[in-house]
Amino acid sequence: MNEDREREEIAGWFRHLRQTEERDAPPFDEVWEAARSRATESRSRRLYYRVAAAAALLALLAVPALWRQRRRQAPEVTAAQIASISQWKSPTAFLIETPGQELLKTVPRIGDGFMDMRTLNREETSEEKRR
Amino acid sequence: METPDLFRLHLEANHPASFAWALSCCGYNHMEAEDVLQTVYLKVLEGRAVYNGRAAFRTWLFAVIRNTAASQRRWNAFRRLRLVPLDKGARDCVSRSEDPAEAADRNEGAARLRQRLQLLPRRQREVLHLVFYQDLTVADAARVVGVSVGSARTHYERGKTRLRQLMEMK
Repeated sequence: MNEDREREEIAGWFRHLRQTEERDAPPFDEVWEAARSRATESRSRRLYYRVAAAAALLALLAVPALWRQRRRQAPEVTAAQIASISQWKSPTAFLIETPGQELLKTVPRIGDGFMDMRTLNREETSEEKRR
Repeated sequence: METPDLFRLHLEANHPASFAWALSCCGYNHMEAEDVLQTVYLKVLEGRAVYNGRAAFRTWLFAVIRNTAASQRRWNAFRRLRLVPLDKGARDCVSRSEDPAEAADRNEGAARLRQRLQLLPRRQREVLHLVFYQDLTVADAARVVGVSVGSARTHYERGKTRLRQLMEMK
């Protein structure tokens, strides 16, 4: 087939296609206005993202600074406070002491009567021995 | 292109051709083509697509449409991978104002050509569309597609031959 004729034939097909498709094109104003509203939307979205990013950055910088400041302000523990803690005794310790528990802590001596039996702690016993 | 209004006028004058080109770039999916065109206008409004006068306005505009359609295609492929439902498929290419029966007759030939064009490799289809539909020269078509003139000419020749073969098939 002659090249010009071939070209003309293909051009004819495309002309036909153009007639069909150009009618189907959505109105320009419709597309343009939709793009415009998307532009406004994306502008406000961009602004929102910028504000959010700035807030996140601020938080990122502020948190370590605040933490450092809190650490610096923490009250120092004095030696007296440490001593008072080591000497602390429970106010309810007496509740676990049973009556007659001294008897269980001492060694009975041969020759002592039951009535003479005294409750002795270890210091007393050693003092008597020394005497 | 000096003032935004004049720019808008140029876009408006080229709107039907731009839509047809977007349609070709989007595999004749009406919805996608409309979306691509909207994105192109958005790029223009936001100053992301700026005409610098180095090529003809139509050549520049068609290149922007082609790049936007390519990005859209990649994004759609990604959405498909993530199993996100896509928008409704290709809308029937029936004009909004005419009788559907008449349109069906008239559209039959066009639909056949579209179907056959879909079977061509993308570059061949693009060059044929730009030359025969948009009346661009092969050199301008090469600029739009982003290939050398020699390569565009090869696509043009091969495309013509293949399209003729496909159109002769029942």
